[in-house]
This record gives sequence, structure tokens and C-alpha cells, in this order.
Amino acid sequence: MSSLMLLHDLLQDARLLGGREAIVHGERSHTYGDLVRAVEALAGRLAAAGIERGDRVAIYLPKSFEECAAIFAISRADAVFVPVNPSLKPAQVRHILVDCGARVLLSSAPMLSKLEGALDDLGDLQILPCDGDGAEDGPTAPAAKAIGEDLAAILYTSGSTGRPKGVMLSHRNLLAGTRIVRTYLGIGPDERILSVLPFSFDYGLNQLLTAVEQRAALVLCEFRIGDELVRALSRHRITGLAGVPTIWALLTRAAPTLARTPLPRLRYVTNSGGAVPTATVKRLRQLLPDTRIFLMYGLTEAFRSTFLPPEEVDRRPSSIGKAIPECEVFPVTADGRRARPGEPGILVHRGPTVSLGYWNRPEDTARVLRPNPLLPGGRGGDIVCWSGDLVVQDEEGYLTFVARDDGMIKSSGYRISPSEVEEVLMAAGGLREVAVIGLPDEWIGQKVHAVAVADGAPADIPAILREAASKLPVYMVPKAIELVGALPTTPNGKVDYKRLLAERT
Amino acid sequence: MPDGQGSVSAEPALSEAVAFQAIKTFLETGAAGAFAKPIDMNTPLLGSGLDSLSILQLMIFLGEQLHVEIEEPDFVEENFATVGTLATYVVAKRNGR
Repeated sequence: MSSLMLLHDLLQDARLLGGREAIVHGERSHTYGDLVRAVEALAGRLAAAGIERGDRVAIYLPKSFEECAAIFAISRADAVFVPVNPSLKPAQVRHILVDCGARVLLSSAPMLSKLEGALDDLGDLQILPCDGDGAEDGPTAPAAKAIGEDLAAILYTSGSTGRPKGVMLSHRNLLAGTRIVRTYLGIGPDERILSVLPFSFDYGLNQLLTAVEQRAALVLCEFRIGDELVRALSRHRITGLAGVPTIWALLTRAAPTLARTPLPRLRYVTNSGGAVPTATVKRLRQLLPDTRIFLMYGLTEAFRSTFLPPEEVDRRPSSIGKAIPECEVFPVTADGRRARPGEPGILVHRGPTVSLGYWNRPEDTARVLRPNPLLPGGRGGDIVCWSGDLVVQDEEGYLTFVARDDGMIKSSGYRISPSEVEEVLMAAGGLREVAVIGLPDEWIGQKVHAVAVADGAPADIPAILREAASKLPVYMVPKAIELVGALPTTPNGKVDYKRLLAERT
Repeated sequence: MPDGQGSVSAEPALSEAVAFQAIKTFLETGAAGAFAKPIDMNTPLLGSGLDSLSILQLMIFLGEQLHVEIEEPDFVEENFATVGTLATYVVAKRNGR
């Protein structure tokens, strides 16, 4: 393959391998030829719809061949793709479309019907159907003018406060992430990779990009109980599976067929999106003795950051490992120096996957993307990514996660902003005050828990939860609302989240 | 916290009506959207749009509300087919079938 600069360059010359299997979904199988044709056809439709360089095109589709094609087609049409997680509720979908100023939304009738008219007043938004029925003999999009430094994608993710923010990734970021992850996982053309995570998640997107880069096959899979996942692994002769802690909990504790299903082709599994409990890692090693386990760590703001080599997993199952290739990762203390071994510090990441910051949020960006603390700009210092995750590094250089330095909740692989949940609970009525925290949970990492003060009359908790469930995706809905007389406060009058948490753990 | 199997606990026997109500409450308050329709014993669970995360959340909820832990061999499609099959399973499990 010649040099790659833009995301859709990953499909360069794929036509020559036209008959090779690219995307498998249920009974449907699509070749690289199909993928290239679908990408060209959709890029042509986007150009005909007036899409120009740098325009944002959102994708709100179920996991499908069409969604895969849309990601490359938007790049091909010189635009920026914004994948929207299909499990989001109308208000969150609307937030993303408004926030990024999307000009076009690629969706389908069944998906649009779930939005209950939430987009009806977005007059500037064009909705283009993307359901596989589009003609393939339409116009051809002009050659893309973007260069590698241009914006390729905006991935929405939550922080500790406010609504989700859009992390801006350049073509170079995405290509570097693809190359780096493919290198350390040793992904080759014969791989059959299972995709169970949403493409709106940088880690989930990576399975698509690494598979396409290598002309490997990507098998799209939805499952509801562990045995269905085991069946997909076996039936599709899967060689690589990327999951979040919830998936390992399901496989090790709720998939009775795993122990009696040989999976000789499953070469590797990877985890990201939160730590896997050591007991689960051990059980996974027993159930999959010939499978290499890669424990990874990353944040969307720097795409991917560290991984623990499989040969270290038995010795240090709670470590997040060391920096991924081409990158440097180290802990920095509050006073701005590199932490000594054993001394906690905020994980700082430098390298080609450091994103371009948050869309339209210069102040938030300045908090996360900062000048290299160890080397001034005038001496060649670069811009690095401040993770907000407290870690320690041991004498051998292995990193271990300690804690977040803020109240952000991590549940089922998702980042959840307490204030976003609080806002919805308050709007439901009946509460005077509410604080949302994450309590440890052996299945999902942290469970969302609300501590609230009722507003006079007894609060109708089921009604509030019902309202929350209609406004929030399932992973954000509190598992319980606990009523108390008053919320503890810090000396300067703010809700004392640390104390709320300490009292309940 | 529930003590898991709870086979010799002093908890009163669980009725199918209580188990049904708990599952209904979860579907109405924990995973709404998929469940705008009225819920009865024949309402499908798998095949209703619930994803793996919702099923997992339902399981955690039942563990906390009814003190029933679903054991690994029982994570089979038959038990999760409908609201009724799950309620029947939960009752049998808690009452030591």
C-alpha cells in the first residue's frame, strides 16, 4: 500500500481485492468491492447534497454495513463524520447534532422514528436515508482536498460535568491509532474480528479501521446474553474480540456454553473502557487458555494510550501496562514534575494520537491539551494530553490506575457525567437537590446511584426513574434514588461528593 | 447485600406476582423506551429490543430487589424468553425448586 494520508485512503486499491470478505452481519456478507462501491456511491450523494470540505455529517444508524460504509464515505466526501451511539435518547442525539452543527444526518426510517420529532425544528439539517437502497450509478464526489491534519471525526464523550463534548480527531490521529493498534495486536489479513462495541466509541471504531487496513473481515454482532456471544465467536471463527469489562463479566459468569465450546481460532481478546477485576482476568485465562489477553487503557482525547502485554497478565493483572508504540506516557505530579516510581501522578500522554481537543470548547480543550510540562515549547516541547486519571508507575515502568481526579463515573465501558444525570433527575420534579455518584459494582464497574433530598411532599421515586429512563440511555439511568434529609457539603458550600461516596463504600 | 443462594434464609417464599411486579418495575423504570407497551407475563424479553447491558442491569436489579442470584447454568435463552418465563425461574430459584 502506498502512503496514507486520509481515512478513506485505507480503502486504496481495495477494489483489486474486490471478492474478499470485508463486513459480515448476520447472514449478509459484503466484500471489499461492495464496500468501495457503497463508499463511492454515498460520497457522491453527499457531494450532490452540497457537502463541502470540513462539513459535519452525523451518522445515526444501527451497527450495519451501511454504517461502516458511511464512515469512509464521509471522509471521501471531504467531510467530518460524527457517529451517534444508537442507544442514545432523542435529547442526547439532538444535543450532538446541534453542538457539532451537522449539515447532514445519515439515518434510516426505523432509527428516525425513535427520535419522536426531536430534530423537527433543526431547519438547516438535511436528513439523507442510508439504508442500503441507494443507487450506485449516481454522481462521483470530487477528489478530497483535505490533508492529514484536517478534522476527520468528532466523537462525543462525557467528562465529569455538563453535556457530552465532541473530541476532534484528525485523519492522522485515526490513521496513527489504526497503525499502532494493528502493530501491537499483530493484526493481519487473515483475521476475523468481532465488532460488538459501538463505532461512536474510539475503541469500537478501531476494530473497523484495523480490519479494513489489513483487508481482514469484520463481523458485526449484537447479543443479549453471554451464550449468544459464545455462539458468534464459534460460528464466525472469530480470531479477535474487543470488549469492555461488562463483556468479560458476562462471558465468565453468565455464559454456560463457554466452558464447553472450543474456540481454537480466538487468537486474542482486548479490554478497554475500565479495569477488569483480577478474579475475572484469572477466570478468563482458565476459560481461554490459548487466547492472548491484552489489557488496554485509553481515553478518547488521545485515542489509545497503554496496553499490558499478554505475557505480563498473570504477573500483574491489575496493571494498565506501558505506552502504546510511537507514544510516551508518564505520570506528572501536581507541581508539574514527572512522578517518581510509586508516587501517584496524572497520566500524561504524548504522541501522534493526541486529539485536536473539544469541538467549540477552547477552555475545556486548554485543560486537557497542555504544553509538555517537562520540556518548554522553545526547546521543542509539544502539546500533550492530560488524562485526569491518577496512576502510579513502578520501578519497571508498568502503570497502574489509582483513581479519577474528578467525579466522572465509568460504567459498562461508558463515561458518565454526574451533572448530566442530575439535570434530568431535577427536571423530573419532586426533588430539591440531587447528587449522582458511582458505586463499585462487580458486573458493570460502577453503578449510577443518586442521593437526593425530596422537595416537600414525599417524592414519587418510580415516577422519577421512569422519567429518567425515557430521557437517558440505559447505562445512565440511576439504579436507585436514595432519599436523605440533606446532602453533605464542603466548607465552601458545594456538595461533598467524596464524602457521599466514602459513606457508601 | 443478598447472600447469594439464600436457600436456608428466613425470607418468605416469593410469589410469581411479586416476581412479575419486580420485572415490570425494572422494565418500566430501568429500560424504558423498549417498553412503551403494557407489560404482561407473555411480553417477550429477548427479542424485545433489550440489549445485553439491559439484561445485565435487570439481573442486578433482581438480585437487589428479590435477593435472587441467577446461577451461571441458568443463563439460557429459555429463562429469558418472556417476562413470565423469567418470573417462573426467579420464583423456583428463590423457593428452592
